[in-house]
Amino acid sequence: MARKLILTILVLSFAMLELLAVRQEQINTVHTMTKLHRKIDASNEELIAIQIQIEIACSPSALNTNLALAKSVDDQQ
Amino acid sequence: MINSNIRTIRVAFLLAALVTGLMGASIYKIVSLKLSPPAQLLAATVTVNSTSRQLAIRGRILDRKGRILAASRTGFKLFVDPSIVEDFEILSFELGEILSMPPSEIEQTLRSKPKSRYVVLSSLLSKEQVLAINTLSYRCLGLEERLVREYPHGDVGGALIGLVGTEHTGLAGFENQYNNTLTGESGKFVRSRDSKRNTVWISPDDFTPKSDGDDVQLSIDVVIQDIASTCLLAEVKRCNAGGGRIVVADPETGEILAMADILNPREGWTQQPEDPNRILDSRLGRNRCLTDPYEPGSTFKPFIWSVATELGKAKVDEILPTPTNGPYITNANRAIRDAHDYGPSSWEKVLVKSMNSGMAIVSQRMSYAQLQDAVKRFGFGELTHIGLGGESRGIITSPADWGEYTQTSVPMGQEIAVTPLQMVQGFCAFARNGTVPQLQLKLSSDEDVMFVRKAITPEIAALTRKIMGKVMTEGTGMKSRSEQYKLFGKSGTAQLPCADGSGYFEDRYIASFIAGAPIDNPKLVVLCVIDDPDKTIGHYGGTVAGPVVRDVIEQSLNYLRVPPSIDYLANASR
Repeated sequence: MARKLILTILVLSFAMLELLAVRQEQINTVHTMTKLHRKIDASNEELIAIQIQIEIACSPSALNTNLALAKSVDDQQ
Repeated sequence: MINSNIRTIRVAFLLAALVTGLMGASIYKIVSLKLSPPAQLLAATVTVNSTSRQLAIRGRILDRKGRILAASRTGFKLFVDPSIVEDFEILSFELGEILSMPPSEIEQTLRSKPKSRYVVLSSLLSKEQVLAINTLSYRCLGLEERLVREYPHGDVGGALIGLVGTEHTGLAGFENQYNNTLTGESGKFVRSRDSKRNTVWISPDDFTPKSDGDDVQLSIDVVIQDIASTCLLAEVKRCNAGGGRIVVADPETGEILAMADILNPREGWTQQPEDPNRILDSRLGRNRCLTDPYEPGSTFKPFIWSVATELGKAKVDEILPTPTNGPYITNANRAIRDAHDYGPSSWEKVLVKSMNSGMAIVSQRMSYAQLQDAVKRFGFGELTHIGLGGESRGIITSPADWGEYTQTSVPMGQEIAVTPLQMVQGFCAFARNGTVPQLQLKLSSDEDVMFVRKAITPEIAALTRKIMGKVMTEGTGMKSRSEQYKLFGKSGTAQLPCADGSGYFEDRYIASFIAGAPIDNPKLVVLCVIDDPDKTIGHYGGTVAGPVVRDVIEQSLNYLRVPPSIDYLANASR
């Protein structure tokens, strides 16, 4: 009877510790996930910003300006 | 053995009592901390639940080749909570350096609203400014995420694309028209923060993910749009016109490839085309290509010419009694003048040389109903349903008011007003098999059903196109002739009507030109309308608007890699 009681207490204590460990692990995982999501969002934002920069640099008016500049340099040479 | 058992029982009870005691003490402590926590501890361990918004990115507006016309990115604005500022002077000094603002101004702003908990100091920070703000450790400072709409191509197609307001909702143009598609749904999540405002926990149950807006792909081609805008602007400036409009369409699909509308306010001119919204923002202006009808003048002749021919009212080679000298007098005693007197001319020549008298002669052979039907066949007087707001139906004399005068005016493009979009839509019939396509601003897919209306037979469409080819080589379009491509088109010069309805200006005009190319397999239809050009520089459609149409067609077809005509290639190879 006593042995069973000790065993029960030990098992319950162990189970509680495990539960705590699992909960902590869950918190850590969610934290890592959040960090990764933020990283993905930041990368996406950077991607959009770069796309916009590329579009500005490749717009017909920007290309025309650059071509005209290159032509004037060529003419000078 | 018994002693050993008794010892074990005692140890077990002792252990159980210890565990129970510890748990009891813990529970007591938790309950006492929860019910009456010490003030010091309360201040240090306060946990706040705050709801944060996750911004949904507004969809992009793309051109037909996937180039970005409008896109949203996230930026940050800086706000301050003055109620918890410890030292205004130091804070203002540090922020002043980062924001390039006078510290005194910042201090004054913050001190003027001491009870406010949200004072915006900068509505949009640069990347460097955000990094610099993050190095500061003031609790009173906050960065708030916001969306920024970027238009990479600047003013190219600006009025067409429109703009968004401070709440990032579309106010004008496509931004407004496709607002529901472009707008996403913001997400939200509840997070628990500690006393240092660090996030401790985000409950998965209180998290609603964001849903970004969808992209919208337009039929506009940004390169052709740039070509059209540049050519139109140059001509409007050259001939000191009040404004200009241009529409470029693909007749095969009915897709609009470019559409531009320019205003050129001039000193000392009365009755100029105006748009008060453009003073606020050039992107807010109305699109006159679909809102403002104009009198098409002789560009309207091919429509009536083709229907009259189809109805057998005149044969192509029939010689008509057009005057040798002086005006032609109609059945209702109306004198109709031509720019030049050619004497008796063929029905074909009437269109090639744009003879008002010939049009009047044949239109008198038509019944009122036939002429009214001819106008309706090409979609005039009806909305194009292109999908932009504020579209005009144009102005057509009602059957009740239709008389002899109207019967001879309409075939010359007078007493009728059409929008540039209606003109382009109707003219596509000549570039196709006589059917009028549904104009589109969104890119059509193969699965889309093309709604068309039959205007004339394919044979009559081909014949009218062929004769309009002669307009470019022998008629009023000679100055707009292209060396590279064979065009078919028609010029128009209409007098500018007085706004008070008192008639027409004697020396002010609306010059227009509409053409398609290549004549054998039309890929483009272009209309250019120049509003009120300076007569001292030029005012005929063929000399003012025609060259714009030719340049746009040449440059656009080169860009689309449509091979030039065989004659041009043969000459080039010599």
